[in-house]
Amino acid sequence: MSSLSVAAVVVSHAAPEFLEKTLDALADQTYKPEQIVVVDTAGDAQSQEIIRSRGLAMVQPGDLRLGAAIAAGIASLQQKPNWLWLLHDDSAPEPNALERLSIAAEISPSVAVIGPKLLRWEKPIEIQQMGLTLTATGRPFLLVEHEYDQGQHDNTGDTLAVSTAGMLVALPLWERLGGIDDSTPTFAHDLEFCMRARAAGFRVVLEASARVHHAGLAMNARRSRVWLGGSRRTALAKAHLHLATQLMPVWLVPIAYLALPLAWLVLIPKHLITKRPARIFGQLGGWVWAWVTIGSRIAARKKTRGFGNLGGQRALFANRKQMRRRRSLSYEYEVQPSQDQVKGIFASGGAWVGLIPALLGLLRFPSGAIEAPHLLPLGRSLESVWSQTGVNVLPFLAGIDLPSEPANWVFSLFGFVSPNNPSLGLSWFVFLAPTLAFYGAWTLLGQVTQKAWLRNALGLLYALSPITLAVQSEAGVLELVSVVLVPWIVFMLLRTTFAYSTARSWRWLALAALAGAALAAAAPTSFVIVALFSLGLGVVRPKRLAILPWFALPGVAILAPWFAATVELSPLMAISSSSRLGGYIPDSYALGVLAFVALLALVAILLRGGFLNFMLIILAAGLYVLSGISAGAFFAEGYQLALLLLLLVVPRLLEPSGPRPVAFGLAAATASLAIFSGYLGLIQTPPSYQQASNRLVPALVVALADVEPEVRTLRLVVDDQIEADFIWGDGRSQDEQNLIYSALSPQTELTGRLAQLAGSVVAGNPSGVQALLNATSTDFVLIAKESANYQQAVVAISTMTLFQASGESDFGALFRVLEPSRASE
Amino acid sequence: MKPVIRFALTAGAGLALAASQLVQLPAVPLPSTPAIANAISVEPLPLTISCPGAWVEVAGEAGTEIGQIERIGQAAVSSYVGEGELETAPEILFQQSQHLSISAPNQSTELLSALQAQLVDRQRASGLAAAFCAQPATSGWFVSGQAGVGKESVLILSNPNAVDTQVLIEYHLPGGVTTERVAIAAGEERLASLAVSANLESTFALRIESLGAPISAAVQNRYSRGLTPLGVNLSTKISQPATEQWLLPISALATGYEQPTLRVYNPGAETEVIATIFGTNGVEVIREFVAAGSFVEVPISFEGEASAIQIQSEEPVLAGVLNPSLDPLDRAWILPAESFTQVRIPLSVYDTSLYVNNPNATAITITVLVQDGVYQNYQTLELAPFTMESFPVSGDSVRVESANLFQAALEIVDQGYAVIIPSENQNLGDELVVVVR
Repeated sequence: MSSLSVAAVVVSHAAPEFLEKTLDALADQTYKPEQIVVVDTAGDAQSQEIIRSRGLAMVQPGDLRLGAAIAAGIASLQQKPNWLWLLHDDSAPEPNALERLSIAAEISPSVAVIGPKLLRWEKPIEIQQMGLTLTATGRPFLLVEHEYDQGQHDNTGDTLAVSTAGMLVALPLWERLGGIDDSTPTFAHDLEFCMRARAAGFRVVLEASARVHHAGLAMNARRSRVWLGGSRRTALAKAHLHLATQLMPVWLVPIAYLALPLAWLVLIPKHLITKRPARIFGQLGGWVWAWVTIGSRIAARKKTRGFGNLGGQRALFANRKQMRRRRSLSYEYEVQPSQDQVKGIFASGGAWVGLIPALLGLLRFPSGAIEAPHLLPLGRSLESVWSQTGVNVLPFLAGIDLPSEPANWVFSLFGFVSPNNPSLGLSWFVFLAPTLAFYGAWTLLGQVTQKAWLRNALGLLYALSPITLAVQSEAGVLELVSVVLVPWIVFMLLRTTFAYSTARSWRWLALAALAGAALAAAAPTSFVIVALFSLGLGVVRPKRLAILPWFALPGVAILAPWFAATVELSPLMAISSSSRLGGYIPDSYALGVLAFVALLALVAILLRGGFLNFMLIILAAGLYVLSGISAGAFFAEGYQLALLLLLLVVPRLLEPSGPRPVAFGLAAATASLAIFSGYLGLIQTPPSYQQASNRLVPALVVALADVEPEVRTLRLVVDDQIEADFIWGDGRSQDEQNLIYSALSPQTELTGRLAQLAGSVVAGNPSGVQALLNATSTDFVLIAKESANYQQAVVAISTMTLFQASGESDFGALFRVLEPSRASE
Repeated sequence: MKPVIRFALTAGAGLALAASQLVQLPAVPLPSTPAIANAISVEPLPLTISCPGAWVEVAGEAGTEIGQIERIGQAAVSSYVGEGELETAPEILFQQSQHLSISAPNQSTELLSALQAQLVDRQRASGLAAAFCAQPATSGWFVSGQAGVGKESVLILSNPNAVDTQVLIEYHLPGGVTTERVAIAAGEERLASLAVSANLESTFALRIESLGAPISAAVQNRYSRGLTPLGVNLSTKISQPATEQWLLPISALATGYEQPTLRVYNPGAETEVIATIFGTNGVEVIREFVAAGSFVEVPISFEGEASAIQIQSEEPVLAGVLNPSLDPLDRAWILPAESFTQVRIPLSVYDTSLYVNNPNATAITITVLVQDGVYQNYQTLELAPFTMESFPVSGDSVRVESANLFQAALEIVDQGYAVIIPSENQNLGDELVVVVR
């Protein structure tokens, strides 16, 4: 039996149901403390009654933090003990706990802090904690947690720190260290105290035979947020930052603190991917707290290091093996590598194969805006493009009440990639589209085959098919969006359908729906087909029929205004208005590739059967027919969808497991075909688009529009017929084009005035021109360079004193409207 | 799966794929509303035409007065004025450039047109210098430049505006291009012998560009052999390079003496030029490759009395025919004719023939009205495809109209030889069609 002089200090904070059991357990100790004092910091009546009923000394110092509460308890002791046994109101020791701790305390005079094995209150068979340590960056880390207590860790001795719940500490040391520092974050109390103890030359050990049942109210966020100093995540972040400040070299402290915002931003994606979004806000709170209380952190660091060197303590930090072990224990079962050795995209080389299209098309490396007969540069900034997204007033004439094109949502995405030059983002997308299409196809093909070289070859064929390259060559941006997104969406929908739980299904559906929204904005026709496909999947697996229809919701929301505006005009316009290119007829080479793949698909059915594959081919044939519709729409993505469906059937040639030479031969044939197609399409054929400036009007107009967005320019093309274009601001970019407006050609009161103004200007007749200029708020007149009567029109307008010649450029001759007072000078 | 089912599925899939190749759904057109064309009527700027003035003689009559350049004699103007009044009454006989101006809507040759003619009889120059008084222009070409022994070209520039202007003159020579800038004050004219500027090249083209308001330009040519003058020509027809143009009428007036010469200048990329000669007795085709920046001169022979030549090329070119006349001894440059549906040409006192050409592949009906004082003489005739008709006209003016496009020119063979090639006189304004987007 030990002969230590021990006083127990129990800190109670409004947890009477736990306090009662703790005090009962204290009374059952085989080695009884000489003194017991209970410090009630909450003023809880029920707790007080429990204490009084047991005839224990009670101190009510008010709502104090842990350190001050313990100090108050020590101060109330009748006699000064040698040892303090600290208990929380939710830590109930087993009958021989103090006895075992006391024996451990007598092992060596250097042992000044001993901690028990903490077991879960509600499940005492499970270890809650056996000592505390830190990671290399100073984050609190539990070596043992949520394991069944089978004595597997009972040989633990020295440890970096022990919890204050059940801690037996020598009073001289306590006094020397000043006890628990209440300015320290709650979750760092014990670690800091023990680190100081070690720095002072004392040992901290864990006595596994001493067992305490601990509810862990603070750790489980069942204490008040005031007690914790915020949410649990915030409290952990604070503890991490506090301890890291004490550990890092002094020169690193300012750098680390300045880098906190950047670190927070960088970690956001990690937390999202690991599905721990609450950590984002916790770390934000911790970062802000650290900046605000940096003085206290530095003071604590100084105090800790004042006790001695911390260097030797790193040996007790958690190493990588221990951290990996803790991470693996979080799984229900250990993940075994598949017998098939399924290779990821890097292991299979797919990541590198996907770069082949980009390498083949290196000559088309983007360096700025591109333009084509059907494609103008985008607005000059993200703000410019975004301001035309999802609006209901078009920048034509005096403002036309029509919805903006859904495609502007896609253009805005390009703007997010390159905010200062959205056209550059678009150019990059056109350049990288085959590569992105490869990755999508590769991912989807993983649903039908695991053979890496087959996935690579078929994915390459999808990415470098003549259809994809023809669309890319024409800068068919919206069609490329369809080519890129459809494989991903189909993959996500399949995952939605066949996920093992409803929660997982919803998560996949959310991703599919977001991608579907982008597809709807770019290619409504493809979106409708994919939406029907999703319903078909629901028929295949009725359990998911309640989930799958929601896929279409975001896309429908984006398209709804467009549908509403076009349905009276022509329902066909709604689904065909995605197109930017003209009619497309596959050339003989494209037909050849389709025929080659179709032949393989037929052989696959012949050899392996499969009603589903049969249906895929029927669908592909149907898509082929649909793609032939010429409705002013370019439905190349339909041909590409047909190719994709056929490619999904081809792996059946080798399923369940075909001869290796056949697989390799098939892969080699398709890869060769793909690379040859890429050579023809990317190296031998120059693109139809060209680099362009993203300025659409003369520089003077652009400069003025930056300051006054209300600038209006009347652009005239003077042929036998005069075309007058009333341009807002810095020019009519692609995101300001509108198919409905082009189809309806609505006329307003302004139309007549502009026509009269155009006529008068071209005729050089100043009569009434000033009034028309005022009525139309025209600031500039631009005679377009391509006008057949260019010189004549320029001469005519030059004769009018209402205008000031403002230079000639590739856009034409620009004339600025003078203010009336200036015109009369 | 049973083999029978597999075969059935394969056959079905194969049929579906084969059918997909054959089935082609009908095209469904997208709805579109044509943009509303707004008919706007604005009073255009006053219509101004310019007559270049009397013959310009360089270095005196004997050619010994170095540096001297002066007007000789007077030109006579024949004009037609429609509904409106000229701002200033024209001088029938004048020496300096003369500008006729009228303010009225409905501008065309029917509102105002004029031509000038002058018989030149000097020691080194004789013949008929006659030309249509054209509307000032901001830029254009003359392909009739000639200098050197026995040839002389003079450029006549006139500024009818109230502001000064600067004119850029490009000399396109066989060896390259040189440029020159001249300033012309408001209301002033500039006469320039091109011999020195053109390096005495016998073949060159001129491009004129006004850097401000439109100007009047004309090129005067003189031909001689030794002390014998061979003829004169006055061209006011500013051309633009084109891929298709018509030259007419080319009359055989020097058979056995000298052939007409077709000159083609290519300011752009190399191209093949196809000249189709529609003679009264047959068609002849000449093909020539013309390099970039090069001239080609080809003698023309044709069957019959007169012909029209169609010039076609892939790249825009300039073309003209230098046609000699033996009796009277004179020469005329025949430059590209403009297409009209209606044209009014005044007539001079000299014996004149009207030539009308149908450039279409279908027959057209034209109406010719000759006005002489208060008398009008109508004539309607049908022109077969690619045929040209001519008939003598005399009076004050002649009007030709048709529902289809045609070309028209006057040929004067009297005491001299000249070809009058009319051009439309019009300012933008009246009956404009404006489409607002």
